[in-house]
Amino acid sequence: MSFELQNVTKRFGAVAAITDVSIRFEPGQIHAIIGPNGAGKSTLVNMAGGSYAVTAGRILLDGRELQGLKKHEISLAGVARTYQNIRLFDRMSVMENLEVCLYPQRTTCILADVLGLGEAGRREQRLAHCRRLLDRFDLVPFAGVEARNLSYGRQRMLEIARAMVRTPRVLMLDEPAAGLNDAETRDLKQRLRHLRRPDLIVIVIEHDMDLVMSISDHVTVMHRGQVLFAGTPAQVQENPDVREAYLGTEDELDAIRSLAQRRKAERRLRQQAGAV
Amino acid sequence: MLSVARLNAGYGSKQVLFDADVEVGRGEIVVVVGPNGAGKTTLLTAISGLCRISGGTIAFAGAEITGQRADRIARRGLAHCPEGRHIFQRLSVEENLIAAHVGRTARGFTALRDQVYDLFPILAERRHGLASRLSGGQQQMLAIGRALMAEPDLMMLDEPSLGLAPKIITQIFSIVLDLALSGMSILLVEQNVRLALEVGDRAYVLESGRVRLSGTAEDVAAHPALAGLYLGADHLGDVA
Repeated sequence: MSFELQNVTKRFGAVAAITDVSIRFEPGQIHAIIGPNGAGKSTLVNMAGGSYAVTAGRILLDGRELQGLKKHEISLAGVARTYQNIRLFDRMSVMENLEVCLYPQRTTCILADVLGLGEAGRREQRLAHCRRLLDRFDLVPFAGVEARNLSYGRQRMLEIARAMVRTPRVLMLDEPAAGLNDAETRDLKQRLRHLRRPDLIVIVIEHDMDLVMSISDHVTVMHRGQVLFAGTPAQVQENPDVREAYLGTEDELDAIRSLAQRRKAERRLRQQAGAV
Repeated sequence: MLSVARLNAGYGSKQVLFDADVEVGRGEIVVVVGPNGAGKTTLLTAISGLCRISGGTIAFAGAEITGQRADRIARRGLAHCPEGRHIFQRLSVEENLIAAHVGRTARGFTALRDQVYDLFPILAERRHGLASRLSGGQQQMLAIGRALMAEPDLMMLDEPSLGLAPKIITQIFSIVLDLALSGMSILLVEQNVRLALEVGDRAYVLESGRVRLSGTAEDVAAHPALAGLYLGADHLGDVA
């Protein structure tokens, strides 16, 4: 199995959000994409999920080109995602949020028909599948609760569970720790570690570096729409370019530094003059 | 000028800021840095009256403004350039400035507008064009110009460098520095930490909704825990 971005570019009008990015994701791994704000991380996920059309380049799942497909076609091909801002079906129950995703699925029906199960039996099968998934996220006690009444942390878990309900081959999580408290983040860390399966590619976009560095096998650092560095968490933490990307570069600083120092000197003079 | 004391704020039932204390003096540039989700933007929206405050006080120019309506706060001379600029895309450049003129002092629209065009000549060139046609840097200039139309004593800027080319960043920061020299107070949220700490007189480091570190920009820049805060090496929790 392979999932690959090949020379992907995305422009919004005159603004280049992504320029010639190539990344290959390996199954059985958790792959993090990090980078400062505006680096293009979410744009990548939005292209891989079909929300944005690519301007150039290819997105390949097992050699099949996904760019240009509709969102639901990409989902059917086995690419699932969550969103930075939770997007659940608020007025549906927790169980319904999962179950509703299974309705266009025909493959299980064939099996069910062979076994002589009717629609009732098939529904029972679907519910059992959903229940197993809810169990992995400790959501079984809330199966009948409307999604909007869950705590924020549980809504996040439900969103991940829902993304997994069709047993995707690629699971993209866009800032899963956003808005979680420390305890919820620790809990998330454990659960994400357990997502690793030989037949699943997990892609995580995340700002929480403790989380990223502790769960990822591989990290790609984006900066200004390009891949700045890729490697293991330890390599990323030691890389000077990455540090610069996060903390600012010398070139940018020089001009502003001299202006700022001039102002500070002037301000001191004025304060002294005022004090006299 | 601005005094925020033990501020608790958030959205709906979600609390984002916990007991935050922030001070800005007259003519001072104060910067707020910290990783994503730390509560930097929430601090600014709480000060401008745009999010729910559950505790603490905000005083500006000698009066308490906690819980006041955003438009009232703006009229007191506290302007806010939000993250992502939020200019009126379907209006022309000049219409954006007209909409922002609140008439705080006796100075008329034309005088204020000309001052904005002097600072940002490119906006004068594009005055009749749609704001949505401006580049990212020009949109940021318009956002600052719009804030200036409210004749502020204190301007809050939320990530003005976001997504901009270095040359444009330099241009925008030189104007912010000039505004401060003219006596305006600046409260700046900036993702580019080194840049922020060069520009600022004092700095606050937010993490998980709390002020973890504060002091002169030089002291904060030299603090050994700063890089770790961004790259996850160690936690700032025990520093402050």
